[in-house]
Amino acid sequence: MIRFESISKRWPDGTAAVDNVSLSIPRGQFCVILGPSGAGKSTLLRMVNGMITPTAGRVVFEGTTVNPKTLKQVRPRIGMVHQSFNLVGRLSVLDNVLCGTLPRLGFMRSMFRLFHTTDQRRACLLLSQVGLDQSHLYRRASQLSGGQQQRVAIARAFIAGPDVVLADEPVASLDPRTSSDILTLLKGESQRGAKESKGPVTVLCSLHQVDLARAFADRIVGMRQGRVVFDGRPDELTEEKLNHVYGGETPGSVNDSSSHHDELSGAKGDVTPALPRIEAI
Amino acid sequence: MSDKPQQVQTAPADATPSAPPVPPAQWTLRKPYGWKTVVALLVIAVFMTVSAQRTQIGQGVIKLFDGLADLVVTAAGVKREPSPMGRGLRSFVERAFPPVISRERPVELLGRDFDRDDLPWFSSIQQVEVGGKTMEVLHEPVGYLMYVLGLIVDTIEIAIWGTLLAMTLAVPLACLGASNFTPNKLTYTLSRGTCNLCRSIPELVSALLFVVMFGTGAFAGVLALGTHCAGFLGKFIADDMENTDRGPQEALASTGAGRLKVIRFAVLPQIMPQVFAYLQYILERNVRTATVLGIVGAGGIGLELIMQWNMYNYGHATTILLVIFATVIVLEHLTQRLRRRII
Repeated sequence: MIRFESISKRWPDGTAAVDNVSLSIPRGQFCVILGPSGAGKSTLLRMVNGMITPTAGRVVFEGTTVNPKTLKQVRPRIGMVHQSFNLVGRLSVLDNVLCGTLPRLGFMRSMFRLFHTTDQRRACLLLSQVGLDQSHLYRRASQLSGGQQQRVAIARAFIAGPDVVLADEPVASLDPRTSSDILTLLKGESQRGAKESKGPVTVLCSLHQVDLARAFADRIVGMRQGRVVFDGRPDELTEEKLNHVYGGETPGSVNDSSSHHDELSGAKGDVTPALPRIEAI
Repeated sequence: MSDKPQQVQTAPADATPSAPPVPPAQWTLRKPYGWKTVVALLVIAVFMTVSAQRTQIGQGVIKLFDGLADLVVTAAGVKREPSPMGRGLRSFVERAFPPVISRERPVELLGRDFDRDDLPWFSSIQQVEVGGKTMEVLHEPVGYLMYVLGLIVDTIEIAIWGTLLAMTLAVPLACLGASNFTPNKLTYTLSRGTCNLCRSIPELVSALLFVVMFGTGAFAGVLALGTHCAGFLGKFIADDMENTDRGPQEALASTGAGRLKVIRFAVLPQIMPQVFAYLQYILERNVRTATVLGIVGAGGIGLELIMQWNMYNYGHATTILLVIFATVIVLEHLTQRLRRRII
């Protein structure tokens, strides 16, 4: 269960990335956050695991307020999947997945790269579940295709048995077919938890593609300029409400510079949104 | 069609929306260089002219051409008073070749362990006449070469330990001196300051100090090499750590891994090729530097080199120089093979 309590994030230059958002995401939900570039989706996600600290309000994760003091307890229970995969290119696929177990690996063991055998077995299982096989195990991550890299990243996000997985535009740099495969995997992995008597894993996923959001989400949250402008089941998202989220054609969008970028380049999905600055490592 | 160009002009966020649009034919273009560049170049030219006088570039060039003329004239068969450069070069070349690899030692100075019936391999006892009286000497055909090879092994050992020390010191310095991993501003400044200090003292100078502190010998040389190289290795690694891809670091940090684990798994693999290149270079330059550290008494082959040079034994010096040259080449070859295997 994640609760955003009237949370806001303002950058030092005064722009509000997230503006007074209150949300509650129950356990096991596949919640998609939809919205144009610069709407504050990534910032919202990154405030859950404390990569960005809010300027007002708070995030409560399973009863714990997320702040610098509780990060050590909170982060190991949250997996994250990134738009640009963020694998360590020169490490093997197996090592990349095992990186997800680093927080609970002893210090000396981690320095000498001695992962536990049980973790290695679990990594193999996860890799097979995301559609990779033994031949990929010891290849460098940088040698894989984009889709395969994202599969590895999903395995890494799930290896520590998280309660929540944050997916920050996991398919923005993939082709449509692969995108759908990856989201299927993400959803499949999150529900696999149910069989292991832990209950399904909550997934908080930001997306650009409306059709994918409709196909996979239990719930869609529409964001625009840092505010929640839609919140409901996928079938409640009508064309009219969608227009309200994207607001591209309405005259009120003159100030929204990012939508102009999309129009200029002519390809909405290809524009890499500027990632929010990371404050805490 | 009419509103499309207007969108283009409002797109940049920093442009004021009220400014009238400038047609592309009137956009200001910059000149490739202005009068400031010309003045700067003139100032540099004047400075270099003055500086050439001060560093005796002029006299040196004259001597050089004098020497070259010497060569031409000699080749043409004309007798001529040799130029200073030619004299200097000749005095070296005449004595430098062939390189001396044999060694003669008076038998009476060899000590009690010397056994006339059990000579070292290939060696023999010869009679030489020195100043009208006959003396027995032990003649070893490759004795001096072996002696020099022994010294070069000492030198390489100093270089290896110096490199190891540099690495050990540089890792913490780099972790504290990389702006994205340093705990706070103070540690950053301290680490960078230490690197600058270590780097700015030449080995020969710090070796003088260490010889005073630890006495003559190889350990002073190891310390001198280690501290100097830690200075720039620490700076290089820290700069590399700052330039690494942040994505993987963010991904690992978001799982809750601590700072050192992030460095180990997200940064180290990325900087490994550069670090190895630095190590290779440092080992090579340490071998070269260790050869001169002996001059101030910090172990290695340098002492032998300077002694032979000062006694005008250029033949011995040539042997030493050739051995150093061969060592550097062999080392380069070995480390290249190692590098290909690791990367």
